[in-house]
Amino acid sequence: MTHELPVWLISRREFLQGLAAAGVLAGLAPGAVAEAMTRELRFGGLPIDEKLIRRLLTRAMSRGGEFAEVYVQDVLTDSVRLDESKIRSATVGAMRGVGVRVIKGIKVGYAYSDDFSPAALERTADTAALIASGAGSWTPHPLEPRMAKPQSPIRVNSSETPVSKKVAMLMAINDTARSYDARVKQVTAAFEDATSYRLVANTEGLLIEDRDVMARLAAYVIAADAHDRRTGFYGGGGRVGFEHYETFTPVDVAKRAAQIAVATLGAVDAPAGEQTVVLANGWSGILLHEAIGHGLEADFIRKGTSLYTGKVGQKVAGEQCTVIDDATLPNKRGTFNMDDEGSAPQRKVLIDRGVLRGYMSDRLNAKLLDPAAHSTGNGRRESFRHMPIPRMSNTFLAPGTATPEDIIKSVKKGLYAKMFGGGQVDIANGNFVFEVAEGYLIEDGRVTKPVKGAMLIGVGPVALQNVSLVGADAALDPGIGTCGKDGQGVPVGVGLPHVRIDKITVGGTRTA
Amino acid sequence: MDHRKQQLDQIKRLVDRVKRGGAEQVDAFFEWGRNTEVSARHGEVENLKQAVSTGVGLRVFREHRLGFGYTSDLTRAGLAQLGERVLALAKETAADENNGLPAAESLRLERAHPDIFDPAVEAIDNDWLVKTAIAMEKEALAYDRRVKTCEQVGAGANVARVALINSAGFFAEYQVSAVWCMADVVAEENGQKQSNYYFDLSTHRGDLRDPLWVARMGAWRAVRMLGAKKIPSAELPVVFEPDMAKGFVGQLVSALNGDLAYKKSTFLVDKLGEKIASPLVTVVDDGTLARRSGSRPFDGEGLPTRRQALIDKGVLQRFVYDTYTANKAHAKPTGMASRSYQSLPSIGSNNLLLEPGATPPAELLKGIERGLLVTSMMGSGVNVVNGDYSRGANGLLIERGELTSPVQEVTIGGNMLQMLADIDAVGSDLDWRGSIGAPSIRFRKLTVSGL
Repeated sequence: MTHELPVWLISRREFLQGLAAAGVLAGLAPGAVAEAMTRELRFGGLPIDEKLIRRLLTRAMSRGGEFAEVYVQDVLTDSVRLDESKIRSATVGAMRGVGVRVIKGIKVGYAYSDDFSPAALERTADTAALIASGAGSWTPHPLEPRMAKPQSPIRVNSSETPVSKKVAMLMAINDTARSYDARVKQVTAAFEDATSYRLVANTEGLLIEDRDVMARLAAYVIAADAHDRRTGFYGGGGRVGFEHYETFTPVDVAKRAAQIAVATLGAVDAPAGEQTVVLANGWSGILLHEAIGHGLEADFIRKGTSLYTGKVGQKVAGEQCTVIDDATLPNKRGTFNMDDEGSAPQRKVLIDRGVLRGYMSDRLNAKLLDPAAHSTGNGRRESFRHMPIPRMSNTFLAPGTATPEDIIKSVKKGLYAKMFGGGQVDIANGNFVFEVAEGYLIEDGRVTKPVKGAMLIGVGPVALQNVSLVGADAALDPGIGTCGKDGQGVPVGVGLPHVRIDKITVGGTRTA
Repeated sequence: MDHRKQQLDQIKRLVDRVKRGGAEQVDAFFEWGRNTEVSARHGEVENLKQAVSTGVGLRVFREHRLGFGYTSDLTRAGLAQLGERVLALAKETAADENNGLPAAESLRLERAHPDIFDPAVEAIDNDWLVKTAIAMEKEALAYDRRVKTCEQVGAGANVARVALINSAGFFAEYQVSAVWCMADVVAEENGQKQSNYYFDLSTHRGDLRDPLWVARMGAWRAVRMLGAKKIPSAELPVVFEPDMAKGFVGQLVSALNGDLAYKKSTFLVDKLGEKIASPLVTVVDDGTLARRSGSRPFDGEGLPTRRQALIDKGVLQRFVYDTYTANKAHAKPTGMASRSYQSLPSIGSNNLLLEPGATPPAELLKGIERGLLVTSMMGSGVNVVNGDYSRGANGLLIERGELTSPVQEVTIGGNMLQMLADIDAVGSDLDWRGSIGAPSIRFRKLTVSGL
């Protein structure tokens, strides 16, 4: 729908975070519980049925395609936003549509429609069929409908929670952050949730449906004194019900965001150049996501553009590095009940004690790399407007044995990176960056002065070789990340215990 | 077309109905779009993607409270449900006297619509896109034996129609077209891979540069990075290529956001009318230009676009306001509100132009004993609240006024206020693809972090 630059021209493989991140989140207005119930029905209560789906698949195959797929999506989102101590806006959104994909060899035809009239859907299937040229036919298999198995227990759907309860959370954030310190000057907060229905049917006889919910709470704080102005951001959620915020409380979210902004007032210039860096646990997993995760996505491997192409069985990281991608972790932001091709979520060991074991794939790229192989359940898409491509789910480093205290103590002079912003990677040369939003100097094994925001930059395999200590305190991020690739944003999780990187370039503003 | 008329009539009725349902003011933003894109691999079509889509966003003010909703479901039931939900939602937000539509008299569109729609773009067929994408891939691969593959090579055409309807009787629409091509190319030598890309985009088919030239540019930009190395950390003169200068202009203008200024949350707060940059820096927003993709007759709230200086010879001329923030800050809206059907209007920009200077690009390098030409950047390490700037960079080393070896895995850092003051040369090489135009710019010095 954009009439500007196609997004993928501008932002490639960027990892976003924050209130402005591209996360599609949210749900129903209060009082719409009756409608939510109807969504339990087959086909999500949408004007489609098995017969229509079979007809679309038949038309999609009419020009000689080898495989065709119908993807149906209906997402209801809502959000509430606080600014200047007031509830500034409340939003509801409804987005639904059908995407049809036809594959022949490496060729993919894709068309979508947000008009559910049978004529419009048939035109959509005919358009996707154009990728193949010739005659073809498909004898409709019987489709065996089933539901994806839920991975995340949910007690209360946020979409069915009264707006007043969400408002109360945002007011609690505002009050807590403003009373945290007199230097807190601005507080912005938002709560977003989404209820989505998906259906995938294909010419191999699959017909699978899924219902899923998400939520996210976030706070952004500005602190200022006579000389300096600093920002703090914190928040979280995932595939969680509203009950999540009984333990992940607005008060804690507000305190952490305020603490980052206040603690970094008077920050000094970060020293520029290579140094020893300690990363705190959790959101620092963005290091793995950028340094190695994207490079192990099977489309980059199949095209030969990733520097990890052809390296299965080889050593690509230090012995202490075991990297896992797991889409089955209950309630995490990168978790799903099925991927966007209808494949079951999986746990995959990508790197085992430094040795590369495998890639993350969707159906197309798995088969192009090895006709006998299957998708690893990593075929994801932002919406029906996009083709599925290989994407990460929750990607993290297995824990080691060191304590965080010992890791910090081991550093004579370096940087302690405690909270992070966004990151990005260049797949071909492996260069990656990620932003330190809250960082401190380490002097003689002790955390001392705060430093101004700085980028860390490295090359994937080298950075992982330089990881010398891995903590026992494994943690995933609190559930705030949205990953961008080819103009598609999808929610992901990242995780890392405390680690020591012996040498990485800190993008500082002070040269020695 | 008739179908769209029917849809517009339905939306007009929705606006009326919501107003009768208890809202003082209502507006609806309607979009219709048709996109086609094609990419090529191994001399064949790789992806062919095509779609038509529509959607409507509905903004409601009720006792000065704001509610917003959108839907892609334009059936009678879908629109009725949207109206009901948004009306109910508008009870939940805070009453704010500054909420509301723009003043009726400010919504008069007196100027002719800018020429931003080309029927020839609408007429582009799949065959042309397929042939273009395949020819571009071939051209990129043939450019140099070190070009091994492409991450993505393709072309596309988009047509969109936008309509804004409000309860004060405003109704206006426009159409816009865009044709584009791009090549993201991977070169390889001695075990090192380097990728880079180039694109062109124009509203009119006749303005699009030769796609084969675009493919060669992408290949050249990748090949020239082969052998890139990290360099020692130092304070160095730094030159931004036009594409990098465009990014800098975009970030600078995001710091001119009037809401941030009102909340003292931009590093440019309290600097209105003051010198904030080198006198070489003039930045203009202009939504009225023919054949520019950021042009449109009216902004996301219906206010006419215009040409206005944001920074004139280094002096900050204005902050950027939408109606709400203008009311709050006792300023005037600037006609630069962005909007899609899925979002509320927000402070944005139309076409941004950093006026070119007199220095030919080669002259920018002269006199630099050792410096860095930045050709691509990574990461969004820019904080407009305090001006902190730190981004990953690739580029070419400048030694004794000449470009020598490629550089990677470094960052450039500084503070935007200091960077603005340190711009000591602006090139004559204006590059204007998309909605931002900028020439090369030179900074007297920045911190380059590497070894």
